[in-house]
Amino acid sequence: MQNQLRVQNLCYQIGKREILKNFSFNCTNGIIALLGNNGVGKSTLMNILAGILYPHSGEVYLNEESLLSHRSYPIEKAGYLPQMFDMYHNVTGYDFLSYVYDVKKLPPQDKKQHLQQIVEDFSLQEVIRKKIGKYSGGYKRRLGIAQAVIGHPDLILVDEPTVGLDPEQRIAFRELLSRISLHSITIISTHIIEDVELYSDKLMIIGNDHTLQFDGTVNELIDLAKPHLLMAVIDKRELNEVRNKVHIIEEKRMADHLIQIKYISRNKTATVLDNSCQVREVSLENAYIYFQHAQNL
Amino acid sequence: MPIFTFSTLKIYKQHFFTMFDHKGKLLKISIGLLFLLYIYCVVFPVPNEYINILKNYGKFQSIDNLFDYAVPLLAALVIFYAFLPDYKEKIYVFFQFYTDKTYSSMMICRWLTFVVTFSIGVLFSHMMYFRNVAFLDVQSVWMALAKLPNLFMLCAVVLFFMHQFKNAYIGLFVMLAYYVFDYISAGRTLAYLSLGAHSNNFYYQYSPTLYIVNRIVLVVVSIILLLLTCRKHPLINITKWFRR
Repeated sequence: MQNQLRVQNLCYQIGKREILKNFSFNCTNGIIALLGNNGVGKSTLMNILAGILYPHSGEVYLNEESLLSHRSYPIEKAGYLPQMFDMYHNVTGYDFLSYVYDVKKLPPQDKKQHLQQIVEDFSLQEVIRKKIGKYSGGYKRRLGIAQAVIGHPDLILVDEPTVGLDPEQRIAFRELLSRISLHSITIISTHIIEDVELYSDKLMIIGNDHTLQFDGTVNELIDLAKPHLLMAVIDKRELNEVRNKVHIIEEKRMADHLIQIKYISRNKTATVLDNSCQVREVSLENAYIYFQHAQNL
Repeated sequence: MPIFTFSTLKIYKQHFFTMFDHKGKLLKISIGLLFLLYIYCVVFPVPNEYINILKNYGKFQSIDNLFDYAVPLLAALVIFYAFLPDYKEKIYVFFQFYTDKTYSSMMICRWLTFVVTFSIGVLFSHMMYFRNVAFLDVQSVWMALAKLPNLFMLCAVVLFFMHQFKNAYIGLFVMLAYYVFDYISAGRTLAYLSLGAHSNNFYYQYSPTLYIVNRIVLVVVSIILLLLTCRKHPLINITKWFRR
């Protein structure tokens, strides 16, 4: 089933400080990555979508049903993995999943089979009967995402999913997310660009002014940045001098005191170094840094 | 909208010993403490001439501190311990998400489990403690019931501040500050919010009605604090004032 999430003019403030300003977007099934600097309101947006915070104005509709009703939040249709996921250390993984299943008020007759399937899907067989306090960071994160997908929700919210995981665990986690996003809208808040590049279908960037600055695909962001990124080969000894002239976004060491640099041409002085050429391969990280830099100009 | 539904209570009952109080450890400790209190009340009841002491000195002090101060403090500490991991490990975020209605009925149920256990313990122990004055009659029941507002208040205060500041230790600190301040000032400074109105008997000296008002105020404030704590979207946000 194709799900649809519609967010309209969300505003949230703490005291007089605005955390989210007129935030609107639409999305369907797939992985949507939410990027932005620290403190721009990523977690606030996730908490509003999860029904934990209530916005000052705006609306959120999941398949045309309001998520912001004061009276009820459809927990059976949503899954949430908070940034700092933890559970009582003396509770077993299975007891925890069983609690979530019951709280979501899913059919009791399917419980055993559904939980067994989830345990297998997330390769938790080894630890599921152990106490959560004995879980490694990777297993805890896996259990966290497993509880979020109980009941096959239409909307899954994952806040900073790969923080604290080693590279191998991050790869495994990416695979899990890709799998679950086939049938649901999966919104991931992160600042790890590498993760976004590998698995996200859509990208949203929250600017420092707390508004939605970019809403598109990874390729669209790269295309936006490409004309403004230049590449040059310079002598290693000139690096500090060059740094004062242009905004370097990537350095690559070459032989004989040479360094290949990628830099942003569009800056306050608009300096272009000698022998510069257009960057052919722009990574998402390059594009993201350009985008953040362009915002500050 | 009902705060409790039959299905919520069923889920709570089903998962209490696996999720909220693993193997009932804390509940067993609470019952153990209440049993010790009961034994104490059986062995050391108030003296026969209790009423005469009241008449001569005009105060209950030190006789009633047990039920006015000591037992409510124990109950509040149990509530603190029961909810400690929620705020220490930020588990409260998870439970907030899984609250589908305006109020978190699971949170209210958890609070009530310990408060009701202590209340029952207090009622039985109190009746034994005051058996030389009144036993199994209306007076003894009223005397015992008059002790419950203190218990409700301290247990509500500790949870309210733990939740408001999202920090268990701030909740403990505020509760202890309230408790110590009331105790040191012999219950006078906090007036109608005083825990020690009974122990220090100062309201009796003016009017017994004021004492009843004090008890009712404590119960009402406890209910308000509990409801504010268990609301999914807080009506007041103390931490917001500090972030401005």
